[in-house]
Amino acid sequence: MLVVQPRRKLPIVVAAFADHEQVDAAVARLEALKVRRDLIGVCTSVNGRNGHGRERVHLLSVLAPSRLNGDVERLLVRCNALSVGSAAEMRAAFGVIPHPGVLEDRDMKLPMGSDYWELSNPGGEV
Amino acid sequence: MDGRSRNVNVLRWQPVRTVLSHRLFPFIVVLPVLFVFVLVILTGLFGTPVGSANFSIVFAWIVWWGALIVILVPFGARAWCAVCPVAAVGEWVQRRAILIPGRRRPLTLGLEWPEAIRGLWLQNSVLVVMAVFSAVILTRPFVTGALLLALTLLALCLYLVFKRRAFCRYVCPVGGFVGQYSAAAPLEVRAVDPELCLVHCGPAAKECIKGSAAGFGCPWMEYPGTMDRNASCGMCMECLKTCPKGNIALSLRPFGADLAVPRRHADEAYRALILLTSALLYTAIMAGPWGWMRSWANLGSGQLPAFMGYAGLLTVSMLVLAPGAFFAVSWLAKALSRARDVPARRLFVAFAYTAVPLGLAAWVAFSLDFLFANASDILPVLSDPFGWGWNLFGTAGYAWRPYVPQVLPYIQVPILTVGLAMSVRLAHQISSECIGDAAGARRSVIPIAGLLALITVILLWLFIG
Repeated sequence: MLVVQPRRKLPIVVAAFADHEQVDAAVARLEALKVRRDLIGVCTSVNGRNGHGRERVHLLSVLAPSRLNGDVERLLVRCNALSVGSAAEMRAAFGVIPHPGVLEDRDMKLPMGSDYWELSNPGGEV
Repeated sequence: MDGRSRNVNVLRWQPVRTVLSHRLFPFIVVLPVLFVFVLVILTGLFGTPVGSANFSIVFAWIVWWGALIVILVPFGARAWCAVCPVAAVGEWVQRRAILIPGRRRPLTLGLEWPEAIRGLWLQNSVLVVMAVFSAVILTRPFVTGALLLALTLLALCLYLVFKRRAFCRYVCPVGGFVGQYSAAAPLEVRAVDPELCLVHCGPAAKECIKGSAAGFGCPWMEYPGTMDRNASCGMCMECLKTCPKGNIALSLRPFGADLAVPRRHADEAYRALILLTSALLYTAIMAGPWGWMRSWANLGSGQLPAFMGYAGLLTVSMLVLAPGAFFAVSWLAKALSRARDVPARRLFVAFAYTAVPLGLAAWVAFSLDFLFANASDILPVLSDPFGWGWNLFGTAGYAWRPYVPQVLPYIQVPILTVGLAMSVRLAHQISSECIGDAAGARRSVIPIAGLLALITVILLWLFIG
């Protein structure tokens, strides 16, 4: 389990995308880069916390080791991200950022990785 | 100092933490509730058709509904949902476990709730249908029993098809009511430090939504790390059990704290108006001087056309007239504030939230009315739940009497006054949130405050006039 102490600068990279298909593509490419899904977070936000009626923005966050941050940023830019930045920058811009490991699909919040029963029993006894 | 820093985390008191984090909670409470619930269904289906002599009507619509509205929701938010028997059975079947998370795959197709009906519109529709038939449900034991059984079976079916508590979030009409007014409650479950949640990642982390050996993943599809409102938190305290960081707080907070969160949705706004309108109309029907209206609502024999008229009137009032009135005052507020760049629709959605404190106050006042009037029915039905002439505890002969009717207005008037004050204060907060200019924001409050005051005057007239 990767647990980073919060006092250190968070190695979280956040990207904003115009549509959900781009987010899915970015997740697939991150997985190809050996970044596990449970280190990736996704949510849909209006542009800014109080931005009633504004355009929807799909946000993706990645908690990755610092040595990979450059690679992750470049990958997200190549996936046509509208903007890429640190957790603090993107929170200031959009009001919220997705928490890595959490899939916020409209109002449902589910694990981005596996559920507990899948972790304990990868084969999944039916 | 922000609002949250004034909150008091009751989990710092070890006995509360011990009880709520114990695996037997909430099961130990669900069990007796389930027993009463089964008795309500059985007495409803097989007992006397006389409502006041049947356990199902007295316990479902006087004891439970009274406790829910007067105590549980205003002070405990969604605490009821944690012990709700309608949801419990399906949840146990879906989890294939009652107390301890198992390693077996949940018994469900595990589908996600369809995106097209996500949000609260379906729940709002169910609420309106229930509102139309409420007088029938409230007075006929068989209908009450059949409805509760049907809800339980529907919940079970939805558990078997969809992930987690989709029924509670998107369908349950009581959940809709409780979720709306839980915003006003002085109790919340939140992460102590959301930044700690942000970085607690990895294959076995995020236990609050994945689950762990210590507890189940959030059945409500919530995540404490980003949760800032009570609306969808069922207060089951599974996150308290699963969080390995001890990062969950159960906090006392000021009344109505969630209503200041500037995240507002049209479906929630509509629900607030549906509930306020139904409180007003029920008060008129049940407490008002118009007996013919009660007769229409009750679907007496040969009164189908009258009932259809009543259903139409109720539906139009909830879905058209009340939203229309709120839209009109929102348009007036926009004109008075001279905020041309703020859409009237945005003001409408935001101002509709002012219906929450007054709506809750109206429901409490209305519920006290029938609670005090009918509480004396409790003792007889305890002794004779089916109305079959039993006298189990020797209380079957206890005569009906209304309790302290002369005191009631002295309780109802302050409750409605506090509700109005909270609503007007919220209107001012909302206008400041939507309209940048302070003087314009103050002017924009006038129409909405006037409408809220008018509704309160009508309610007061119905209760004490």
